[in-house]
Amino acid sequence: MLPSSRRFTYPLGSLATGLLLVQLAVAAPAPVQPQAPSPPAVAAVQQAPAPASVRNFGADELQRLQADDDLHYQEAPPPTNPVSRWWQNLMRRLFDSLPEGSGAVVWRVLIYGVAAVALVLIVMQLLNLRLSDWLRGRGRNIAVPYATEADDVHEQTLPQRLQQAEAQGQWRLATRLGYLLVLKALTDRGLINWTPDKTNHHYQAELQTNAARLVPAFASLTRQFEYVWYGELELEAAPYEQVRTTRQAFLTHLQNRRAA
Amino acid sequence: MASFYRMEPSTNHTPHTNHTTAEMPFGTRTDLSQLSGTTEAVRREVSRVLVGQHDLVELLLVALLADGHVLLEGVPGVAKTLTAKLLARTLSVPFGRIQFTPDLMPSDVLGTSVYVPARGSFEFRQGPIFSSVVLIDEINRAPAKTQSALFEVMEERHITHDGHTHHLGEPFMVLATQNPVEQEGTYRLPEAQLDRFLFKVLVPYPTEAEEILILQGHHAGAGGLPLNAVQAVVTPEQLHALRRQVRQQHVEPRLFEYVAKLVGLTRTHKSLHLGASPRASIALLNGAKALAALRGRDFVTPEDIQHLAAPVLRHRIQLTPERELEGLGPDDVVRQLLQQVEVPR
Repeated sequence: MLPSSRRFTYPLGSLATGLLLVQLAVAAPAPVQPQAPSPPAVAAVQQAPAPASVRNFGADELQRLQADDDLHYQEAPPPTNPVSRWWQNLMRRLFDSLPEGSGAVVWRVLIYGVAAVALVLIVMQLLNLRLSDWLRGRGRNIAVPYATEADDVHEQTLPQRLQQAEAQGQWRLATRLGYLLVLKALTDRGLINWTPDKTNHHYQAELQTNAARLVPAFASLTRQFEYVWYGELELEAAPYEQVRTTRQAFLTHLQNRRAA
Repeated sequence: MASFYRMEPSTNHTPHTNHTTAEMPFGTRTDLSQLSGTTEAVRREVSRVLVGQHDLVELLLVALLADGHVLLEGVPGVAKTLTAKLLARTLSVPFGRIQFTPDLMPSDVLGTSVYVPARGSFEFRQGPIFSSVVLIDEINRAPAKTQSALFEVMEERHITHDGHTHHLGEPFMVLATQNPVEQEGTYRLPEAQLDRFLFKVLVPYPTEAEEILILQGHHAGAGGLPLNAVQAVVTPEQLHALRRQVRQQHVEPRLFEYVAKLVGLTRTHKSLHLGASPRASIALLNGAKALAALRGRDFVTPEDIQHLAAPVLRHRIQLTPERELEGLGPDDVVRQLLQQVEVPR
């Protein structure tokens, strides 16, 4: 069974249709009557001739119209660079979507403001500055620089300093400088990659990869150095001679290896 | 039950040389034979039950010699508890175990005063913490209130109750196990408590080869050797002597600077919002001295310090939320720190 609201639809619909037919019959157009032709307009012009005046645009007005962007119909060709094209599309979409009127100005200011803040943040990030630190007036974090003391194996005066230490009987220092000389020799030949944060055992592992036959001799030198330097062992001349011999043999072997 | 595990590699893992007396280039200066003999005996006993995990056992021995507490972290079932129990069994000292639960009270750990009618007075009944080696199982299942009960005893080796101070005997070592904090029903330990652990050792899953060995052992022996097959091989007096020897290790002055720089960098590192305390520096130094002794040397090398940097620092530093979201871990930061400090040579 139909709902009650639909049961009354049909009588009302029939009534509306009837009324429409009546209205159409009343509003039917009358038959068209033929009319007499009107006199031509040319005759009127000939009767009252007036001098034609040339209208010129003002120079200011022309300049204003030429400067109006809305009246420039020739568009620049799109850039060939894909990045520029992407940027142009982005800007057009961004600004075209802005509401018209005074709201547009607010939106433009807001967009430029966000862009400026983003730029500042990027620069701060590049300079390793933290916003919270900057706001609190703290300085930037600077990594602790490596101390470039005598333990830089690239130091040019190592051989001279070694000779000096040996001449002065500073056997412990001489052992250390001699070991640094060995590290320099290995670095110069590309057998190890010297960086300040590596331990002697890192170099031993590198040597294992690059020149495994040198490892036992290098391990022996390392042991000597570590016992003397880290172990704070005060050497006499005779034990130092043992260190010197081992070192010289290693360096000679390294040179011969290069020559071969 | 047979067990296993292979510890994670150190952040700066390099092959280390175990210098025996024969390898000393200029003769013997310090006799470390008793130390090496005793620690070798401990290793042997532990390996009767445990498969693999040599690095883990080494770190536990270092902590034992350095007089420090150890926190073992790993997912359930990787035999953290078993390892701690095995180490405790190799020492002939009183052993206590406390299972931490959410409803545990401080008095359940430390002890409480009980009224004795015969005397008409209260008497202090010692809690399970009054042992030489205490295994605290699943330490992060108890809330902060119970955790704080451990602050005094772990650092000062005594407790204060009702105005009286009760001293614990020597040695005293806490071996705690915990599941990762992401696991359900766990709490993050207070920073003050974490700082009292010498090492935090991560216990990962065993390798496939180790797991096969575990299965074979289990299949052949219906669970492997029982725990009571492990014998005590170290007396408290021996341990005391070994610890004294470790304290006398040589440390070249520039290594103090190295440790201080390394730990100091944690306080200014941009990825960290909590750096390590001076207690961490002391822990790193003591650990390095013990590790050097364990490797047969009477002096510390930068290698020892680098090897222990991660276990000492990883639980004492806290990453900024941004770095955590980026997926950075404490061990990554420790690795960066090691790259920033020059090795004294």
